[in-house]
Amino acid sequence: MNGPALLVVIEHGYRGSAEVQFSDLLYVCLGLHSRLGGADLLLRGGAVSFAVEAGPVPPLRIGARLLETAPDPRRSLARLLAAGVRAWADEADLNHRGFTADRLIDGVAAADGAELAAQWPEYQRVWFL
Amino acid sequence: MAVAGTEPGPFDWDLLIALTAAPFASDVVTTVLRLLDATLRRGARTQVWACGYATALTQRSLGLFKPADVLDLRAVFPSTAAMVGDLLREYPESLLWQVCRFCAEDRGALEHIDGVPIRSFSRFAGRVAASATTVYIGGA
Amino acid sequence: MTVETAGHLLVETKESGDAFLRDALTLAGTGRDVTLLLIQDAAGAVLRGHAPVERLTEAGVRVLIDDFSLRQHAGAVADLPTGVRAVDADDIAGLLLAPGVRVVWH
Repeated sequence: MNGPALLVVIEHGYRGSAEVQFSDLLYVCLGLHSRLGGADLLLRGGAVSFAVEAGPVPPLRIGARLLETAPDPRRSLARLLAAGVRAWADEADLNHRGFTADRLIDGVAAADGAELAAQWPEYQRVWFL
Repeated sequence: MAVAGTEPGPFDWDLLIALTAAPFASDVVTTVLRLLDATLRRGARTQVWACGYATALTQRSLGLFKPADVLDLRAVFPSTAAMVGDLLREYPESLLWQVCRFCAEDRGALEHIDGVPIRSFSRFAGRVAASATTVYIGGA
Repeated sequence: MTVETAGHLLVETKESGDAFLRDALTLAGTGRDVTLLLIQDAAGAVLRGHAPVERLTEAGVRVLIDDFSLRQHAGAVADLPTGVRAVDADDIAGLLLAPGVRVVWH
């Protein structure tokens, strides 16, 4: 087997700023990619929004604290792509949310997530995070 | 009993369950305990890597019992820590329950029952490589 | 009952796992040995007829349901659609311990 050992599938979208900060599932994916022989990434469900070009989210004010350490999925994805992770966003889930493939960040391709399952045997492991 | 899986063996462990889903959001903890019981009864060597809020399951602060049922104060209900502790005592050579340090720290869950080590995430890949089969239960 | 098998073991735990069930169909379409285990809330979906059991079994997917989950969702073996077999924890252990099995848990 020459390709990555692991296919990571993320379905859950944004899960919070205060509680998550830097340690979102994309961060976990990077850790798995570096330690488990490489990973590819499929975004499904609400997680497809991570791959859509969007403006910055303003910082969050909690009392006197200005929380500027919220997760930045687009930056996290860029880091994954730079590390050699191949990433896809499920096309049907993009369309369902009103996104078109031309809004995807560079390096992420739209794909039929169901058809990608035909590739599962090429991976040692398929993990839904 | 370790048998070869998709990678060359032999393996130290037959099964690794990476449990990242949170308790109470579903019955995943019940499922995992059932699977542990069943695989251990079959003589398998099984390990659990607890992440996310699953790290809370074996905290020492849970004690042996759940809080009292105010409708039946005489009844006692075991804590998850007690149940895992029982399995560890019954299968000392066949079961390893370990807790991810990062997740435990993030949740203030750093005091665990005897027999539950806290491990750096850097050890996770080694646990996967040492197991014939890994079941990754997402949901963190 | 012996249900140990290898190949791919797909485990669905959610009530609405449509995409994952499509994955099972796609995977079976490649000729691979595919077993689908329905456990936890997925047991309820089968009882309500929401899981495409017939399509799965016609595609060669072995569809199993956790008996414990079935009962937790007020179901009984007699309520199961044709082609779905109930299994217990020992059977599931056998599936997980089968040499070479690849487990995908949803």
